[in-house]
Amino acid sequence: MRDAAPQLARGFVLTLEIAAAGTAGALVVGALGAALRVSQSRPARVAATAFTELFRNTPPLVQIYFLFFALPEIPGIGPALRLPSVVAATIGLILHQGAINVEILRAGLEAVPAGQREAASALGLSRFDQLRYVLVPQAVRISLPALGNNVISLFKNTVLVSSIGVLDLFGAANDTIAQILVSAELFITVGIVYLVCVGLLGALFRALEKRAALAR
Amino acid sequence: MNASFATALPSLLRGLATTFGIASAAMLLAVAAGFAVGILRSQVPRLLDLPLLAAIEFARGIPLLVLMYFLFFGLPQLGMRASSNGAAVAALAIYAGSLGSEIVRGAIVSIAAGQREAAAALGLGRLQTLFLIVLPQALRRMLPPFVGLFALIVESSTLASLIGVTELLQSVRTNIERDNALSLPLYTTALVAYFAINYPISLASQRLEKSLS
Repeated sequence: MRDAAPQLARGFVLTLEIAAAGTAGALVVGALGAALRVSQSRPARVAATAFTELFRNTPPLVQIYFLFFALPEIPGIGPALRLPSVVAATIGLILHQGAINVEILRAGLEAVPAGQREAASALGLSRFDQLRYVLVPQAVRISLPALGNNVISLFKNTVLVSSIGVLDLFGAANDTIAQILVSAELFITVGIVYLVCVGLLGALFRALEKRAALAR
Repeated sequence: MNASFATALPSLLRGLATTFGIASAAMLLAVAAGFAVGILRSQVPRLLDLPLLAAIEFARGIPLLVLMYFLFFGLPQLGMRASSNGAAVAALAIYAGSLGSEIVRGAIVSIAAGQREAAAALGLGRLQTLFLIVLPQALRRMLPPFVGLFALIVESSTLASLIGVTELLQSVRTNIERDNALSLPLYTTALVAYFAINYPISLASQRLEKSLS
């Protein structure tokens, strides 16, 4: 197992990279989607709703397989859509967790009392400035606990990338197990690493929530 | 519909039945464990609650796939062998049970203290208060999140394909291995099928949430 340490360490770094890229991407998707969900254009709202419902109601593992195996089979444009496994897997995570973020941020925006928007409007702020200075800051604060849970959920879901051959921490562990056949202790070790990371993320978001509450 | 899709259909339907089978078994166990642990946690003093809290943090903090692999590949080395179906149901039940216990505990705690005080004033004992006054009201609040939990279990049951359970996703994969031309139609079918199952469930959960609040 000691010989496996460098491979596991490389896997862990890749897990952190996928989690970071996934979290950032899912936040961007969530913010864009939520903005479309509350926009005044009906087609934009319908499109954003369809995206959200489709990607949060289908399993992330199926989405990853679809992106990696099925997209390149589309007649005509398929070959251009052949993605490296790590890219396909990260996009899959971004779509699923991003769709959940859309729903979280939309609910946060709707939870801001209507008087806030009316007051901002009465002060002569444009619709964009109302969102930027009045609604979004409050919505993010309201959404923070749910966003934190979703970041943790994305971190845990990074193990799915191993299913299409990416050597993240879990993929590297399985690769090692195939070579040296000591699965129980390796799974326990890897499990502890994930638990510690999840614990740290939880503590980070609790601290963020406390700060946001104090600033009120 | 082309011919090979038609030949794939019976095995897909068997896969779908297995998906429902393991998801339902896991749901039943998760509800039972959720009630047992959730009720216990709402009643015991803080010191006794700590080990339960630790177990829950473990069960919902560890990635489900790691837990499933440990049960299926790791436990045999420690002398315990589980079938792939058994390991999948156990892992799903442990994960969903930890979430279920939080649903139950949260609902019990959310019932206003005045209800408990009124029951005590009427001379009801602790267990009578719990089972006759608090739980009946708490049940209404548990319903929407428990419905949502089933959708999560169905979604998560796809991980069972990775330890060789021939649920829906695995039967899709087996058919594609036989004929790669089925890749696009069958993965699309899988997306549509899971959506067709989970979208109504999450809609029902949201509707219930609205109508019960």
